[in-house]
Amino acid sequence: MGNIEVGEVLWFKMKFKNSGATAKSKHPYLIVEIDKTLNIVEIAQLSSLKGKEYRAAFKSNKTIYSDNPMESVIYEDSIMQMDNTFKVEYHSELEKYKQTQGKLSKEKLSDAISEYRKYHEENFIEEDRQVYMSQTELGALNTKA
Amino acid sequence: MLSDICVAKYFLDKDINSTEFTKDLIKRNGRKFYEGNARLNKYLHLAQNIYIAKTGKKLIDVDFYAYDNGAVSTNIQANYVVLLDNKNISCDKIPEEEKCFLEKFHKAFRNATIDELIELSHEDVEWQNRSNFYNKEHQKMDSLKFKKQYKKQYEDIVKMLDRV
Repeated sequence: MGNIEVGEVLWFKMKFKNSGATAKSKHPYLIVEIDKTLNIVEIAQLSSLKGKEYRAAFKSNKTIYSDNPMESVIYEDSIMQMDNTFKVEYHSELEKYKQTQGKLSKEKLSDAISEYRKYHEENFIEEDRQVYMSQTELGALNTKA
Repeated sequence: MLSDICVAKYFLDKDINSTEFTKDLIKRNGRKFYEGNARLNKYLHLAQNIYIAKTGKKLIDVDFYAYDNGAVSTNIQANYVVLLDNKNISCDKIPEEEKCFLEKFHKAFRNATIDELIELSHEDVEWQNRSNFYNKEHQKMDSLKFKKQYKKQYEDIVKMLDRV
């Protein structure tokens, strides 16, 4: 799985929940794990805090600052949502969803993944929020006008 | 420490166009209430907790009660309409440090929906401990009981407020 790596950010539309809600626009997703056995990529949704700084107060959100050091994969201070699980089928075309270059800096990435895993160990993620999309589903959602 | 009335008045005075604190009746968790009243009470509760996380001290001299839709200052809840209609309530000047904190808090939270504010209030472990009681005396919350936990829980928002 050579062309994407943990810590990179992919931009696309995803299903938010299995019950149907899908994103109307592209969102950034941080790659938190690449599972070669299951052939999946686990990602976590990022959202800008601009104008919604209060979101940093939720237990289910982890704040990722865009500076110190300056990040190349996010433009603004953001939160990583942890109260869901997003997985997509690994395929070589995932690379085309990279909109930014590089990876999240080492320390912030390690901290983010550690918080994400801890939250998932300590909290139940309901099935509706455990979303998986195959290559076909993801492609179909992201080719619509 | 500031009085609950003065902090409430501070937030109400920010709402120049009367769009933030309304008399819209809404229903959540089986209770009907003014949306603006709940918003004001959640602001007080969350400002208190985040200030404790930041300084280790209470911002507001008030006891909160664990009601179904989050923590409430009963004095503010009972007098919401009075406070809304009476702009001439006199309050002592809020010291600069607390005023700066309230200013940043308001900027950060004014775009939160009422459901998000209720959810944040419900995330307070002291609210969780006190919310399933019937008698008011048992619903009384101790804002300082979990101050160590608040320091960790609100670490991100404390940092964000410095950036607002």
